[in-house]
Amino acid sequence: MKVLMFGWEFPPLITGGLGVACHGITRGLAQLGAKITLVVPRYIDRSPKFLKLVSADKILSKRESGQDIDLSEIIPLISAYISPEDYEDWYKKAFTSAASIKLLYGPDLFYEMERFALAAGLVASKAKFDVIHCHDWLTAKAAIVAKKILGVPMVMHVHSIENDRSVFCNPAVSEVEKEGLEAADCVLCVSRYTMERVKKIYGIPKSKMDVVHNGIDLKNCALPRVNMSRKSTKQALFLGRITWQKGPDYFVDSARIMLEKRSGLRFVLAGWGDKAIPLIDRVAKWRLGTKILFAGFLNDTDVKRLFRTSDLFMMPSISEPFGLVTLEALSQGVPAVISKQSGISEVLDTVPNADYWDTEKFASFGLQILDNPVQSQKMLNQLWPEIEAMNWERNGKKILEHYEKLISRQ
Amino acid sequence: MKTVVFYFQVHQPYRMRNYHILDIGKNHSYFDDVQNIEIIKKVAGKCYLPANRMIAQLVRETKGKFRVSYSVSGVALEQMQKEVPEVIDSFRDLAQTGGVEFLAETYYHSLASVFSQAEFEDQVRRQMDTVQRLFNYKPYTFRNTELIYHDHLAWLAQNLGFKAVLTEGVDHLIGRDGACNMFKARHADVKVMCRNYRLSDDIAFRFSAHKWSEFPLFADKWASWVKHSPGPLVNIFIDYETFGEHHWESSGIFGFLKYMPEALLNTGEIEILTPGEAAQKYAPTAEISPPHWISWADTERDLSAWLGNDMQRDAMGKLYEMEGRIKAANDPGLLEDWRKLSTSDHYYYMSTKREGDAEVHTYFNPHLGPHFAYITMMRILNDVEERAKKN
Repeated sequence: MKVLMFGWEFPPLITGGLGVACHGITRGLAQLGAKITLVVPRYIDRSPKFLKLVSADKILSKRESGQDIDLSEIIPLISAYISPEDYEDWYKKAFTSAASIKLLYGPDLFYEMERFALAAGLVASKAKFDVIHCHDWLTAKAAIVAKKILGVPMVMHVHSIENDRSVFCNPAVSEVEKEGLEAADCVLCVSRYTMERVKKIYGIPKSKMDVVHNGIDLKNCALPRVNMSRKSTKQALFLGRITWQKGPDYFVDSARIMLEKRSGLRFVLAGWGDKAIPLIDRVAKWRLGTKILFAGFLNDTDVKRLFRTSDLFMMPSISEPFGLVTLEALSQGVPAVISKQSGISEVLDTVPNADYWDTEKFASFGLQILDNPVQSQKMLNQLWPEIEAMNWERNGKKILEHYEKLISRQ
Repeated sequence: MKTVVFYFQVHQPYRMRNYHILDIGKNHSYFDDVQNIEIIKKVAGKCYLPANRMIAQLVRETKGKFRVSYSVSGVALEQMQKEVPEVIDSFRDLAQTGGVEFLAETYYHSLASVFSQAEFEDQVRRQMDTVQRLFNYKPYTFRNTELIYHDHLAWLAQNLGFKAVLTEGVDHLIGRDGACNMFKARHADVKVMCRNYRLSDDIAFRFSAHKWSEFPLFADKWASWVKHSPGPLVNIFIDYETFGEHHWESSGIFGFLKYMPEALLNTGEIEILTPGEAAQKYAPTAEISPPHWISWADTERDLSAWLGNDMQRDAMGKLYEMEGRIKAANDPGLLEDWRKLSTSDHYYYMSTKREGDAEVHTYFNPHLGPHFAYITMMRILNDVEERAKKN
């Protein structure tokens, strides 16, 4: 199976869930024998061996200087088999170097998108592929171009839609999103929650849609243990971009309610974004600055260490297509309260959830969790097999089945 | 005869480092040693050493007719002793000229006078002891952090035996030329001397301002302004870093300093005294009683440079709220850290008055600007609080 994939983020150039998911999906597919060519705007560091990473920038600059593109630059010639050591080595490097947002999301995103589509056409006319797979709106145009040239089925993977990302949707973005969804032969959504929204907002029929939940690479992780210590300062965590979508203001509102009942708690917001400054001002106004702490942006290693010292994870996202971070928290033994408006809540239905705006409910669930670590451990014991099963290989199988179905229909 | 009084402020804080969230409960080093050492060394080389040398020479050349006063914060003295002991030596040399008065202030350059009498008195005594020990000099005039003043401050100073304090000449309190008078504090037997901010800022701020109509400023021009300004008192209170640091050597500031005493004395109508001497010479002619705390900071001349927004009020409020617990913990290291955190500079960094550019930077980079200063301080205070609990 030769897959021509279009992605915007790939480790180490990632800013959030999209890059992590793209890495997981390609790795899952590669393990099942798929030969993947992944076109990204640009990449730093070397490509992992399980796929062929193609830089759109490079392709375009080659063409501009009149050079021909070599087939070996596009097609993964080596078998997809990767030695675990080799992979480990690449993985470590990829996930410890910091991503530059500027490098990924330049000043004129639409111009970048068009350039990317141009490169897509060049790649598609150079080699044969069985299927095209793109991720979110930025890569939709590229997939449409490639489909026109190759005449093979196109899959669009929806990690988030414009309505998730901002209060005021950019109509130009929605337009591209719609075009991609309509052109796709199959639309894969990261959750039922997202699938329903795609149907409602874009009128895409369910008959050509399916859900492929994100996975987590647990690497033989043992059953996580909830912190049972009776330390006086229990810590609750918010982790993610401090932006409208993630609902950080509902986190601090819940924190305030919880602090009224239990003044010894500590709340930490890890991350940064355009909501950080106004939220810091709000916390200062409440005189809660030593109780609700802002950690700033943390790297991967520090995030793991922060999980280890936390007793509660709260994700009050306004709209969260999936919410992989919840799985990360649980796998580190940190019990969670999550937003109903998230994809992950449909998978982990025993994890306490509430409407993102219901700060009272978030607070009371939060306090219950902090008071009953034994209960949380029980819940985690029950959930664990389900979480373990949520690996990328399983998702890869599902995606591959869709590929085969699409090809056989042709 | 008109009297000119010089007072120079010498202070360097222990600046905070970027204290990490994961340091809480594990690592109790809060200050950026590398940066602090770098700065004290730099300022010593550019300002303290050359300016001290020149002033000692000027005092000796004029046989004490040119005399000055210094207020050196305890935290500055500490850093000098450790990193640039030659600066301590040069201050000792200045003390030996007999033409220098050392003023008393809070050791940590804090706002303790506003929040805690006990802490205030501890900090002042400690700074006086340090000056006594290092320079064999017993301060007898008081100068509060950033010239912060209120009736309450005069009362605090009186309790510690001071006869005179220094503050800002605020127009709306004392009138445009009010600073030329010797004042008496209301409710305290303390004389109050007010800064002549116009003649002070000619040197401190405008000296190297190319757009200023009086640029360049020469010593005799400035001396003639002093001569023609209302008397009897002309209080020139400025940051010592004016010489060589705020205005670089290339601006000619040292040339100005070199010829200024001569230019003043040559008028034949000017004598130079230290604050303590002036306070002994002049009887008060008016009373001063500000309706609120005043200071020499910003255009507001009040406490808003340190307590103007919620972040500053939250941070400093929390700090002083902890005082009882910190002292009860009986842990000298903890108390020392807590006191270093009381230095006014930390709260000044949280000021949002100069919004605009600074805010834009913070938006893109959490490691800059007032909000960063605040969230860093709050992480540190969280750790300080935990330490106090453990004891």
